[in-house]
Amino acid sequence: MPNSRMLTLQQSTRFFFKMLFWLPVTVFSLLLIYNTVPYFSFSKNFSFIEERSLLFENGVYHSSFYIHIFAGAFCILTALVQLSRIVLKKAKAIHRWSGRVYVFVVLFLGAPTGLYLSFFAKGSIWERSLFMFMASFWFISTFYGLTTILKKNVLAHKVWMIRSYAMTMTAVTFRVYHIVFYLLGWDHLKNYELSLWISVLGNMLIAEWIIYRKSKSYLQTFSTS
Amino acid sequence: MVGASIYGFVDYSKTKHNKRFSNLYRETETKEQAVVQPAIAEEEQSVSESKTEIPGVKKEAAKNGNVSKPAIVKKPVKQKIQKPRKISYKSFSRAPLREDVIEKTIKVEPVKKESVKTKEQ
Repeated sequence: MPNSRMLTLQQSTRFFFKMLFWLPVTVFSLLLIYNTVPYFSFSKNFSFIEERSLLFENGVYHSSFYIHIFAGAFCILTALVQLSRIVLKKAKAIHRWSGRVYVFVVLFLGAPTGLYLSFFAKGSIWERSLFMFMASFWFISTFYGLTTILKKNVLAHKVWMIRSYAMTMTAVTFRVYHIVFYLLGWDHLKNYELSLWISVLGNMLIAEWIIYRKSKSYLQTFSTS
Repeated sequence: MVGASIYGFVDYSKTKHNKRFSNLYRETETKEQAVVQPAIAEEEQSVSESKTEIPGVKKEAAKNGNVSKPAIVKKPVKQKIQKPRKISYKSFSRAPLREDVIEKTIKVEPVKKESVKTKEQ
């Protein structure tokens, strides 16, 4: 049986690694939201909009873009609240209500507009297909997250919501990789394409690893009981 | 989702025939080439000028002792000023991270043409 010192050491190590994960996630998420806010001035003086000036002439593309960035920023922010243990333990009502809003925003705003925008995305047919996959998987994982909790299956709900969050966070991780490769002096298009693939596949792998770790500890509860 | 995919596909089918759309993301690459091209053209022009000699004129100039040396062409130097790539909190946005660098790196010196008189009358 481990003594109290060992337990304290284990707890502090666990806390350190959690902070190592959550601190950059929170900082980068808030930074992305902060940089998204100026877009709601609806000015066209952004290089992202200037580059796609032709597409922005189309009213559907124009409105889809603004709905999508609003949905993305909103989901990134609410996901931070959703995954907080403090909120889960002490304020379940907040978790439920922000969860409902998150699901609504993803299913009716974020994913459909993302799917529409993916047809016009930068890159080759493969990158466009990847964007389509992202939008579809974001929708499916969130939808399953909703149906499982309605059936009171908490574990499956957690699993699907982790997958949904992984898709939400591709916006953040993409920019991290993009900046890293930019500093390494990579060509823009190559950097863009690779950052995109790594962010999507990397996030999915990290999500599956977290799910595996969580389910492992869950399965261990059967053997001890 | 079905509606978005159908609408997206229909809109894409309409737009993909547009030339501006097919060149949409290539535009910045062509701009980069356009910056370099005039300098190269200038060089070619100056070289061709130095090569074109009219035989009658040259003989006459030799008689007078006023021989001009062939034009010395200084090749344009493409100085790539690789400024250190800096990032700020604003880099963490949707804006592409490339354009600033392209503008800063390409610098072409103007072509100078020199002709030297060997003997004056």
